[in-house]
Amino acid sequence: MKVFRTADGRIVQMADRPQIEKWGAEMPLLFIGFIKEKRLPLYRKEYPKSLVKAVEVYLDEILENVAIPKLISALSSNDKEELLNVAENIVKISESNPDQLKIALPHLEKTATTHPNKNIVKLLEKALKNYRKAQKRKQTAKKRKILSALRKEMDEVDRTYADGNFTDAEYLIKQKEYLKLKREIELAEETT
Amino acid sequence: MAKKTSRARAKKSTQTSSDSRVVTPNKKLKKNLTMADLQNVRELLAYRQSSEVSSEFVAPAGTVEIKDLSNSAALTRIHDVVTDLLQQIERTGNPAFDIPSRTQKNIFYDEKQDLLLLGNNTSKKALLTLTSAQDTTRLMEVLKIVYELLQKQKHMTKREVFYGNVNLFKDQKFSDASIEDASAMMRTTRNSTGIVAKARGSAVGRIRLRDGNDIIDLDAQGSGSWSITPMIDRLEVLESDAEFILVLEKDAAMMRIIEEKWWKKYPCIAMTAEGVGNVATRMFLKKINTELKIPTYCLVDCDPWGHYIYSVYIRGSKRLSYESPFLATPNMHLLGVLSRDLDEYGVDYNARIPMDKTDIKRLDDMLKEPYVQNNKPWRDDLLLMKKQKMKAEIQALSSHGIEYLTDIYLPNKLYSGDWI
Repeated sequence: MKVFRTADGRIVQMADRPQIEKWGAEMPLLFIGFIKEKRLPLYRKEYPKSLVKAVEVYLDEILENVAIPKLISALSSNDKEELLNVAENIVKISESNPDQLKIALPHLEKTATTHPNKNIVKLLEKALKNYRKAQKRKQTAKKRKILSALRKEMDEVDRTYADGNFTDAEYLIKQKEYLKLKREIELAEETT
Repeated sequence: MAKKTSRARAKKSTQTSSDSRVVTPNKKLKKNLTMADLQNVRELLAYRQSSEVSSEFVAPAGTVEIKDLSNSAALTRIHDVVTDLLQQIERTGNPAFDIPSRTQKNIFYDEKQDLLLLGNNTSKKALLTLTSAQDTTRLMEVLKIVYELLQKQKHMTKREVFYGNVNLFKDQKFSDASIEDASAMMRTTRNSTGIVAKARGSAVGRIRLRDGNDIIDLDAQGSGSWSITPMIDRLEVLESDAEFILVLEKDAAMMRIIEEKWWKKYPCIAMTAEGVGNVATRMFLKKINTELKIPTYCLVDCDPWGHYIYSVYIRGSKRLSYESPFLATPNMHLLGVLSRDLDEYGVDYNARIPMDKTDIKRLDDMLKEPYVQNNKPWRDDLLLMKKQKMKAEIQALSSHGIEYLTDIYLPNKLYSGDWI
């Protein structure tokens, strides 16, 4: 295990490089994605900056020297079965944990446009589509949150307008802003 | 009027009994302890991290050398067994299996490695004699199943093996014995044969595992816990920020830990097998203990059976002594409930149970074990138990309140370094 220690005796341990090197092509990316997305935000709350920094440096080193070379080598492999297996696993990841593909995105996009095997291209395109859909869903969810806050604000605006404290022009600007965002969300939801 | 008087009497009696429940602890106990206060644990953690633990087990002379095998190596061992059998048929016409004897006489306590091990004595089971024909047929059937499992890289439970041929095995104890014979004969662990015990244990806390391409977060199990898979060979530790492991005998204690999310305040991994540690739970414990190199503690009932459960975790069971090096966690400490804890932590007298004859016999048997005799603090605590003739369950601590176990007892035990 790779061990990270704090001065007061606390400890964080994670899979070390020799262990990661034994994994299949997609697992190192999954691992790095998991630690970056799920663990690092918690480390930032619980552990000193120096530990977080050391973990980040370690993950970047693993990404650069193990994960990406492993993925590139697997995607350019002559072994059709292995290749198909890797691509299928990437599709599975895109369905269950799409965020974890973020790290490998440039490589997947490149391979999806240049790979000679049509089946592989098809699978990678499916994975990329899933990833983009998930990102879009996330963005829409964010907008929905803003819209909900805006709706509350609009109730207040409506009251102010009815009381005669807002001009028609001022009210129109606010109402337009709200309707524009609402329509944006509707359109986004229609396409996902 | 009579009714009223009896109700008043009943009320008074409840009050009296509830007053008598309050037992003042002999020990000065601290409240609101944090992980930073548990320096004894941190010192042990630092020691375990700095010590070189060899994962390679070397079988001492006179004992059977068991190895964890890959599928192909295990298949080769079956080939060897069958080839030997065929040669015997050609040579003598009277073939027999040569199986390491698993009787009491052939089980040794290795003081140096602190483990129960299987000796080199073997027993012959002939295929063509009336007395052993049934046993050997069962053994052949198990070998056939193991061969298929290894070839297909699949797993099967002991129960499935039994139900696969009920007419042959008659009772699961016979199929279980044949499974143990098969792995002992192949000089390998049962895990390497693909036959697993059903899942019983569970774990929770600060660890993330990998099972294939799935990442399992034991810190995100809602109001439950992760069920320990019998397919331990598929598991890998990905990440952990635990500072110790806590093994609990009882599911009720585990529920307290889960409900309080205790590992958030005291960074640990908690696990239970709900009684005697089954193979999967012990293998899982050994795996995380060896890989993470963090202190490991055990919390069992204050009775001879609880102490026996602890002994199985640290030295292995006699029945599976040939697998001890792969199942035992010798560096685990007995945190409680110790006999001295009953007074030190003020366990209510109503929650203390007088020991019966069976308990006393079990206690005497424990006291005779060489690994107890060699461990003075452990022996002393068992002798105190014998003197007090009282036992208590972990739940007895809750006479001081539901959170007493998690808020007072465990933190104080870890703070004071009061373990065996």
